[in-house]
Amino acid sequence: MEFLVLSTLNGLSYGLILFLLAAGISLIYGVMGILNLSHGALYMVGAYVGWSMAVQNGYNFWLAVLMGGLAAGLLGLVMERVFFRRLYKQLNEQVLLTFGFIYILTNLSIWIWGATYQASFTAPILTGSFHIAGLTYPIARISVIFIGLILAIGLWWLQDKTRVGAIVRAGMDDKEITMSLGINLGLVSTSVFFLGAFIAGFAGVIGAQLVGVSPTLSIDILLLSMVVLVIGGLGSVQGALLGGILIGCIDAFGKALFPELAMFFTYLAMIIVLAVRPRGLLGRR
Amino acid sequence: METTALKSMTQLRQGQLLRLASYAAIIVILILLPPFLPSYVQSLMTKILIFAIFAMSLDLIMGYTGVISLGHAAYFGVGGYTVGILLIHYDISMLWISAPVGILMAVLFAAIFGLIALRVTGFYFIFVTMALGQLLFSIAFKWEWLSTVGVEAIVGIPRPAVGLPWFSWSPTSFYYFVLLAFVLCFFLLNRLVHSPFGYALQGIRDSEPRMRVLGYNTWLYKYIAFVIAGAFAGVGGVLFAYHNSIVVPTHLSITTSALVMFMVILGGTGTLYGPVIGAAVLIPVEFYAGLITPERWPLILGGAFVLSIMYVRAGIGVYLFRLWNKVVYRYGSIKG
Amino acid sequence: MNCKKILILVSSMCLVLILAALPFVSSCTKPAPAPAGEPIKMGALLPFTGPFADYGSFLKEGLEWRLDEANYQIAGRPIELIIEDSASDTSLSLEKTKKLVDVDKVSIVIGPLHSGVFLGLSPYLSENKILQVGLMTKPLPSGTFDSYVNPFGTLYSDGVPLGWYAYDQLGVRTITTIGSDYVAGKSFVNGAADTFKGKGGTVVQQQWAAAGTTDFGPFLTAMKDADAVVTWLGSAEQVRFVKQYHEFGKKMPILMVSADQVRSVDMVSLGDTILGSIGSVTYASRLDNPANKKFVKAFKARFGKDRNPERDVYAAYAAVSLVLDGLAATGGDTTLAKLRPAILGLNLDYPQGSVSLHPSGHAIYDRYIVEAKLIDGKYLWDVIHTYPKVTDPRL
Repeated sequence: MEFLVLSTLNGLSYGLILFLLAAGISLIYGVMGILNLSHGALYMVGAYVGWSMAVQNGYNFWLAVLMGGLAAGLLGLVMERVFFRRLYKQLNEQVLLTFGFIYILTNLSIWIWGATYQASFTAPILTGSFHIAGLTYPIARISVIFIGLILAIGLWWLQDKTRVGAIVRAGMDDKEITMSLGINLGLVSTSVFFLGAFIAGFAGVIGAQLVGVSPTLSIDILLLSMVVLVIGGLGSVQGALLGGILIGCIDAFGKALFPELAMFFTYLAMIIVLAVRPRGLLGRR
Repeated sequence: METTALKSMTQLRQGQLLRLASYAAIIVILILLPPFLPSYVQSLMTKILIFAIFAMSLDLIMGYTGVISLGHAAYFGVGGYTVGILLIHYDISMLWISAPVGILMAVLFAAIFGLIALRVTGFYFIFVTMALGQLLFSIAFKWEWLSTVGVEAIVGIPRPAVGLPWFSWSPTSFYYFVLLAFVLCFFLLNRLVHSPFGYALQGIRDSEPRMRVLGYNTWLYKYIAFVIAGAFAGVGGVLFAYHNSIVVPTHLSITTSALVMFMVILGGTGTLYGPVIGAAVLIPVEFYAGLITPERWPLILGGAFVLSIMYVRAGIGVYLFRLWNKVVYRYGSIKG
Repeated sequence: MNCKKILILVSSMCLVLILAALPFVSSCTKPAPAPAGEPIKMGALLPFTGPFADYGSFLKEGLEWRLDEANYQIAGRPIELIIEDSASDTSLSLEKTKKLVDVDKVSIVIGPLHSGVFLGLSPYLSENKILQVGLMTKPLPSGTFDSYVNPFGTLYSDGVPLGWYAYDQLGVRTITTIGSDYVAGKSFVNGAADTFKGKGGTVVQQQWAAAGTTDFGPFLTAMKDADAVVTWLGSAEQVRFVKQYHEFGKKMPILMVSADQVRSVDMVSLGDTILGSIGSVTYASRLDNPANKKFVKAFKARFGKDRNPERDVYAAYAAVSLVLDGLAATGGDTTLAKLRPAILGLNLDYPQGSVSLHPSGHAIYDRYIVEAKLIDGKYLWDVIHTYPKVTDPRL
């Protein structure tokens, strides 16, 4: 029982970080047809900025979270304005370009912040652990679950219940018709890209509560969030959320029960899901 | 009338001359020069040729058929691992056994993985191929049967025995061997893409629904292309195992898959010469960037990717091709 | 094949040639090496990118520092150091090594750090009669290679004293272990676990975490209770593990093989939770011997008072020292057949204690048990026990 509860919590906390990342990639791909593989690098930059604010300079943790998000968001804005704008729906070129960004951002981070690993950090009120009914669990992880769920609800509301969301969904389905309705898709695209990048940076600092910061994060976290997307299905918040929680739990239970085979499980899960439902569990269309 | 005919005659001559010059250049650079280069440059050229085969094989599905795979290294790695396993467990290093078996294994894996991966398209295809590659990577990493003791790799693979008592490999002779394989692969792939089958693939790339309406079993075409691409990737993997003397799990993983994909995109998709040029550019750039600045080379490589996408979007190979066309055109007309 | 395509091929090959010939041209201008007075060339493969990137800059500091001390000279011959990035990738490192050997004509290669990559290069270096020098502990070679020396021991031997100490001095009877899931991690942890079992202790559980594991939550949840937990993880993961271990409210004492994986900066970020952790090390800045006192003083003079010499810098420093001492003994002769026996015959007083070498190339020296302590406001590994002249029992 104790094992079940703790493993589920482990799965949820890690899975929700993956969800935040996957949701950003999914949104951007859906609206703009851009596969941004450097999303993991934005996550890492956000985490480093947050670390530098909170640990190096001693600012408030929540301010650091915000600044991490903003830094990644601004970087994303520059990427979109200067580069992606001209590469709509050119998947090959996007892959090469975004891999280029991964190389550059990872190496620049090593240059600026050093290659050594930075241990996890959190707000003073979140330090320490819960002790309930004989269970001990870190407060920071609970907070990650809460923040992730709140954002998930917020994103879902934005997507399904607002005018902006309607435009975004319309843009996903048919760009030309949406534009012919007099909607400024350029502005929508830019804002969506900023939002996606912001969430990545934000998730970077939130996730640093669990896993700290290191330059290898950009690739490690990218691969997993891709798996999340494929399992959950592209183009919807619910899909990314379901995928994130599933992968988080598979990872948590897999490592705990069959540590020798944990590496296989995530990829195996992805292949099985695709064999059964080729568009992911909750994919659009 | 006569003068224009004459002019076109001279232009034709010029063209022939240029073509002859190009033959000469190829012969000099690829055949005559290598023995005089230091073994390390020979080794680099060998690697370029091997990756050119590998990159052409990926382009067959990426550029000609229009399905992007981020797991193509799986078949490259399987080819290499087969060579290694035959050596360490069965003590077979005979070229005539280990190379065909290596290629066959690559075909086998491509045939199985193709069944799984081709259920989906586009974005999903990219990542399901990636997952299959990563799956093999983790197996190779974890299963000790697939490694030399003490290393997560198979080390110390010699050049293959050919069964001739008087023959022994040198870096130069191995280079020529790879060159021969490269020419053969280029020829075969060239025949393939200019066959009805190849044109059907390009039709699928441009519009799959149309081809389906025309009565083509597009799935089968894609599947066959995928398996053939796996076979040529296997050729590359087998050669690379002989060349590099080791196979490591990363030869199966996304690291290698991405690298070869960069070559294809960098050189220009949908052409055979594009991937060759991509390999010829990327391998030296990666290598020398690492030598110039061991700590900051990813900046050079990443910068090169970004710049090439922004300025030479169609690919360096295609760009050079157009440039050459211009030169030929100018040369001809000025003389005329 | 049509004409245009041939032309394209030509231009591509021209490009290849130009790019490939660049270093050739530069190497051509250099005269062939002559034995006396000519520079001794030393190559080093350090991880600046990839999974062990955090070690790269420290190792580089150590190499350059030791060569600066020697004024880049030994036995009347100048020394040239050529550093390349290993990226902890066997395939790439082998290519860099071939270049070091073919073009730069190095006679000594230091590194790389990653033990699997290190072994991957050995057959090539052995074939070319190039001395390979280990950085930090290295695995027991599977084959026989004859081109290898290392001022440190085997991975396995690093864990051995910890097994003894846990059973004899701490009175631990059951342990659970967690290690990185690759050759190095398994050797380190099993060194401790096997000796512990040999003494009569029980290993209740062994967990292996993939290299690069970020979240140890699942492992901690599944961890069984025992008297102590024995770990070896890569430096980033070790810090991550200790941090998460305490967050999960675990109370077993942590025994770390190669405790100095946790550097003093990391100890600061771990704070008081690290205090009381016990581990085995090959070098500690608080070792009480004349060579080390001199070493620490010189370190502080070069890198500043606030920094403390740690294993990374020391490992590189010791590797160069070993080569220089060997070269001094041969009078600057770099031939493997002379240099290696000369090094194997040395008896050295290094900051890590007195060092002699086993015929396999691994060193025999004292091992230390350390404990994390707060001394004068600084977190340090302090030496609490010494095991003299430890070797790998399998050698």
